[in-house]
Amino acid sequence: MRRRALSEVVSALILSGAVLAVGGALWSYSLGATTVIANNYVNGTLSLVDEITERFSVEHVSHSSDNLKVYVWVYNYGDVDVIVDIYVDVNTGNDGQYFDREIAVGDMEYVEVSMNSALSVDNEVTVQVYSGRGNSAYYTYYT
Amino acid sequence: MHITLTIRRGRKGTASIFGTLIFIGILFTAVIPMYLVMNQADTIFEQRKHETTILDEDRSRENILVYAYPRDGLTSDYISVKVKNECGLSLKAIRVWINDAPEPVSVTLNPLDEAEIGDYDVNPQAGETYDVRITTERGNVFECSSGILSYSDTGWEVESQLINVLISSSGVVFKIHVYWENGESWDEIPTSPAQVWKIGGSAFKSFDVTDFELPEYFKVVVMKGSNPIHEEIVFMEWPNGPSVIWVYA
Repeated sequence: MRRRALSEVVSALILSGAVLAVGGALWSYSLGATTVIANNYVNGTLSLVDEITERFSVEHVSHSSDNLKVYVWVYNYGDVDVIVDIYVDVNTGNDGQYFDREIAVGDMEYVEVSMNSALSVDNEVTVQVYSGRGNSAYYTYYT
Repeated sequence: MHITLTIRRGRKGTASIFGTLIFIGILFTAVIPMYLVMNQADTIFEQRKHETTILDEDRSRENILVYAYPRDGLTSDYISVKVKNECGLSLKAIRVWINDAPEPVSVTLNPLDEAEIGDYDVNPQAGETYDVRITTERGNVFECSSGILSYSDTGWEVESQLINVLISSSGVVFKIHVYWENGESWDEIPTSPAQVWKIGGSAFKSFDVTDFELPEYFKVVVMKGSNPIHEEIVFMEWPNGPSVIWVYA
């Protein structure tokens, strides 16, 4: 009777220990996993928030007197800083680009885009501005 | 037999209790906080989305009238800019553009407020033109409502000198009479009267008064049938003020 009771206690202790060990490991894993999942979700959501609150416009376009540069003024009127790439295309096939211009919230930045060849009279110039988050702004300018 | 059963129940109960406690622990320390954090992120997303939608709607509703004119007569070196908020929102003008030169300003306009911005010394030369625009904080750019200013040998010129009449009163057909002050009498200008029809809630007619020697007083009378529904005497200030006047009936 006494031997059997001891065996029951030991087996109960072993079983409880096993439950605690497996449960603790599961708990630890769950904490880590849910933390990672929550962080990923929050970062993804905040990134999406930045994407939908990003606002910028091409405020003005002009060109140099030697017709080799197009001047573009971009205004960030949104709630997040933006980094933009600027593409200038002319109806004659002439074009120019400028990459990675950072614009802080509320700022206007002035960019000089060098063209492949000189602009001429009555050119239709299309300015496209793309942000790294996938938003865009357009402007059409006539020389 | 009875004792054995009791011991077995106790062993099973201990494991179950530990298991349940661990399950509850995981639920309260991992799953629920994760859900709350995700829910909070969703709330922030919806809130910002709503704010951005409002910003876009406000931006599309912004409307201001911009007039540029010389400060002191036709040969002045200075340009002044008058802005009038025509929408139901407060807005802030943050930049004045004169050709390719931006000038930072900070002028807040409540609904229907007017403000004069400037003067700007442009050192005008004969043959030059001056394109004036205003940028608002919400990212809109408004061009000068009276067109581009130019400077000739005789001084400042503007593209148009207009009396614009906008009728929103009830009715469909209206007749607009415009008179100029000729000594002690009011004489009708050559393009007056004009008959207008209301389309889409309002009727609009513009009268060009470029041929008149300004500044000058004008009288605008809006008739519905044989009844005058609006009469207003307006003063065209050009060249010491805007070259476009709006009359609302």
